[in-house]
Amino acid sequence: MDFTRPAPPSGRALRSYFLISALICAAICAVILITLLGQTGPVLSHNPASLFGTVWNPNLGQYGIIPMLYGSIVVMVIAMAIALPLGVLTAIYIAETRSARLRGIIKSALEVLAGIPSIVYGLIGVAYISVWVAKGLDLQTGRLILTAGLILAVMILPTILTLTEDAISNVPVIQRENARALGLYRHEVILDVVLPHARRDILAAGLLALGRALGETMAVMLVIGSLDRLPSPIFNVLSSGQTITSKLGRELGESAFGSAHFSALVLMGLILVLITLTLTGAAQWLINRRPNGVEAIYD
Amino acid sequence: MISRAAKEHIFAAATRAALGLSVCILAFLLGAIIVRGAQAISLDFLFMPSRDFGSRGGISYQIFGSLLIVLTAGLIAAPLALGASVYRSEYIKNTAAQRLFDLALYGLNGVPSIIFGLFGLILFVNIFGTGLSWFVGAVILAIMMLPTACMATISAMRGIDTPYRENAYALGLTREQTALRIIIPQSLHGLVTGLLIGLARAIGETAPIMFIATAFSGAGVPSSLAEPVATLPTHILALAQQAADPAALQNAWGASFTLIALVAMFSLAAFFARARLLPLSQR
Amino acid sequence: MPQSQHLKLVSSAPHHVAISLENFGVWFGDSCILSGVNAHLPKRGVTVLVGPSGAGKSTLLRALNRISDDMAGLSIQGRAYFEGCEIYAKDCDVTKLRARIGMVFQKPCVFPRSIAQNVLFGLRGVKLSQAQKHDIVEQALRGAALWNDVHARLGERADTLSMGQQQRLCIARALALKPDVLLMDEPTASVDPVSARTIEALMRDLGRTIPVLTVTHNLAQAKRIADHVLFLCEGQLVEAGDAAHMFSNAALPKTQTYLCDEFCEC
Repeated sequence: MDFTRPAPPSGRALRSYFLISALICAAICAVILITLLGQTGPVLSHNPASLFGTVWNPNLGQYGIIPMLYGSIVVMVIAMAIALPLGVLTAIYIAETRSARLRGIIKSALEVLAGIPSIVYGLIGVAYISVWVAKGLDLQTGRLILTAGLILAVMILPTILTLTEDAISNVPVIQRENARALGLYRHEVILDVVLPHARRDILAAGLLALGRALGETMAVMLVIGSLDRLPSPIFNVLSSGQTITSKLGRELGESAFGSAHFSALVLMGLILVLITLTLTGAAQWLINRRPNGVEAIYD
Repeated sequence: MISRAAKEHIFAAATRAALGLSVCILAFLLGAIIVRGAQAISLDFLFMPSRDFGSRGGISYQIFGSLLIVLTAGLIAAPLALGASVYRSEYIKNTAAQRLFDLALYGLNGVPSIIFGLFGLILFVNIFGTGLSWFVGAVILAIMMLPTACMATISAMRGIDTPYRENAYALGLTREQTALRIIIPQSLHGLVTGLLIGLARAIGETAPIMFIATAFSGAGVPSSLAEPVATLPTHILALAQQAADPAALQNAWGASFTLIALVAMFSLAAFFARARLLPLSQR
Repeated sequence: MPQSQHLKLVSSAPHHVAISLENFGVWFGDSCILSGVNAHLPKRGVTVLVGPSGAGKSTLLRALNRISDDMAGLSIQGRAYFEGCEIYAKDCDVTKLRARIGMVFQKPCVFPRSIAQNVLFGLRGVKLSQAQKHDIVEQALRGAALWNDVHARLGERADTLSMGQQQRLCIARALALKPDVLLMDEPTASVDPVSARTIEALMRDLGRTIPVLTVTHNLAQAKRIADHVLFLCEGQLVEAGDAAHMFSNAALPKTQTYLCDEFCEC
C-alpha cells in the first residue's frame, strides 16, 4: 500500500497562505527599522557632528538632537516619578480592600480610561492642565515640560494601576495568611511578602508604562510648547521644551522628503524605536525570567 | 526609631491618600469628558458636515472617515492575523523559532504610534508615490492591529486541547484540513475579540495617520483609494490647536465624546463576541 | 438561632484553660458555619477537632487567631477568650494576638528566602545579635525536628526543601515566636506518610509544653495523638472530652458511630 500520498493542491495553497501571513507578521518590525535606516543617509553624510549638538536650526544645517532627547527623558522621568508611587500605593489599597464593590467600580473605570485615545488626553491637557499650571504658578504660558510630564503621568496611571493590581492580586492568599499568622502588621505583610512576590510583574508594568510614555505623541505635542532648546538652567522644568515624538509630530509634515532635515527627523525616530524596543524586550525578559538565588543567610 | 504600630498607621494613611488622589483624577477625567461632551452633542452635530475649519457645523464626514479607515484596516488585518496564527500555533514546533516569532510580535506591539506614521510616510506616500491616501492609512492601522489580533488568536489556539488534534490526525486529516476544520472554527472567538480590541485602539490613533491619510478640512467621501479623508482624531487635533476659540473647543469636546463612544462600542462588541463565540467545549 | 448546648467541659478550672469559647458562632453572610459552641482548650496536651467535612472545624480554628478577618461577610457571635482576654474585643491588638497564637496551615508555605530567614520571619521589633539569631534558629529548628536535616544549609532557599521539610519549617517558624498556643489545620494532609509520622510525634512532644489544637480528617491519626477530642458536626459542637473516654464510651450515640465507624448520623 502506498502511504506517500501527495498533498492536494488546495492543501498546498492553504499552507502557503499560512506561511506567507506568518512571514509578513514576523518581518514587518524589521521592515520598519530598515525603512527608517535607509532614510538616515542625508544627515549622516551632511553634518553628522551637529547631531550631538544642542542647536536645532535646519536653515543653518544644524540638527542637534540633544534637546529633544533630553525633553523625552525628563518628561518620562516626571511622569514615572508621579505615576509609579501613586499607582502602586493605590493598587495596594484596591488589592487589599475588603470592599468588592469599590474594587469593581475602580477596575471598570480604569478599563474605560485605558481606552481613551491619547488625542483626548491632549485636549484635556490644553483645556485644563496647562491652564491650571499657568494660573497656579503665575506664568505666561502653561505649555511646559512639567505640564507634559503631568499629562503623561495621568495617561500611564491606568496602565500601572491595572497591571500592578493584577500582580498584587495574583500573590497567593496562602502567602499572606502565613505572614499574618506570624503576627505581621498589614504593611509588613505587603512590603515583605506581597511586593517581593509581585516585584517582577510590577517592574514589567513599569517598563511597559515607560515605553508608552516615551512613545506618546499627541498629548505631549499639544502641551509641551515646542521649543527646540535645552532649558536654562538645565533642570528648569517650568520652561517649554520638545520631545522626540512632539518634534516628529510637528515637523514631519513640513520637511521635504530626502532632505537632511527629514533624515535628521528619521534618525530621531530610529533612536526612539530602539529605546522603546529595548524597554519592551526587558519587560518581556523580566516576566519570563526565573527567580534568582539568595545571598545572605540572615537579613 | 518609629514603632511598628506607628509605621502601620503611616502606611495606611499613605495608601488611603493615594487612593483618594487617584479617584479624584479618574473622576475628573471621566467627568470632564462626559459633561463637556454632552453639552456639545446633538443630532445636528453628528449628522452635519463641518464648516469654518471645524469650529462650526458637525462631524458627519469625520465619523464616516474614521469608520472607513478602521473597518478597512480590520478587513486587511483579519486574514493576515488568522493565517499567521495558524502557522505559529500548528506549524512552528521549534521553541527557538516560536520565541523569535513572539519577539517580533511583541516588538511590533512596542513600536510607538508616530513611528508607524513615519514608516507609512516614507514607504507608501513617498517611495511608492501614493500621496495622501485613506487606504494607506488603513494598511498602516492594519499593521498596528496585527500584534493584538495575533496574540488573541494564538492564545485561543493554545486553549484547544491536544486530543482534538490527535483525533483529527487519527482520522487521516492532513495538517491543513485539521487547521481548517478544527483549529480555525475553535479559535474564531480569539480572532474576533482580538480584532475588535485592535479596532477600538486603532480608531483613536492620530499620529500614524495624520501625515499619510487625512486632510484637516474639505475632505468628503473619497472617490478612489488614493484620496485623503477627514477623521475624528485629526479633527480633534486641529480644533485643540484653536483652543482659544470657545466654539472650536466645544466642537473638540463633542468630537472627543463621539470618538470615545465609538471606542466603547468596539470594546463592548469585543466583550460580547468573547462570550458568544466561545466554543461549547471551552465554556 | 440554634439552641446552645451545655456540654461537659474539658477542664473547668480556669487556670488550666488557654482558650475558652462561650456560645461562639461564625457566619459568612447569611450562612451559619458555626453556632453555639461552648468549649475550653486545656493548657497542656493535644486537642483534636474531628468531624465530617463541612462541620466547621477549620472555620473554628481560623477564627481563634482571627486569620479570616479580611473575608467579606464574616461575622462573629458569642465570645472567645484567650488567656482571659476577649479575642474579638474592639481593643484587641490582632497582630500581638497572632504572634502569641502560632498557626500551621494545611499546605506548607515558605517564603522565597533562606531557611534561616524563614525561621526568623515573624520576629519583628526586637534587635537581635547574629549569635542570638543563630540560637533562635537552632532552637526552633530542633523543636520542629528539622535541625539535623538542614543545619548545614541554613542559607539555602527554603523552597528547595521537600514538602515534609517545608511543613516542619512552617512549624519552626511558628515556634520561633514562642507561642502560647499552636493551631494546626490538617498539618499532615499534604505531606508524605513518613513526614506525617514525624509531625505526629512532634505534635505529641509540643503538647507536653503548650496546648496544641489540631484539625484532622484521619480518625486513626486522631487516636494516635489526641489527649482531648472535640467532635463537631454541622456547625455544632456535639461532644467534647478526654480522648480515652471519647473513643471508648462517648455519651452520645452519634459521637460513638462517628468515632468508631466513621459514619455520621447528624
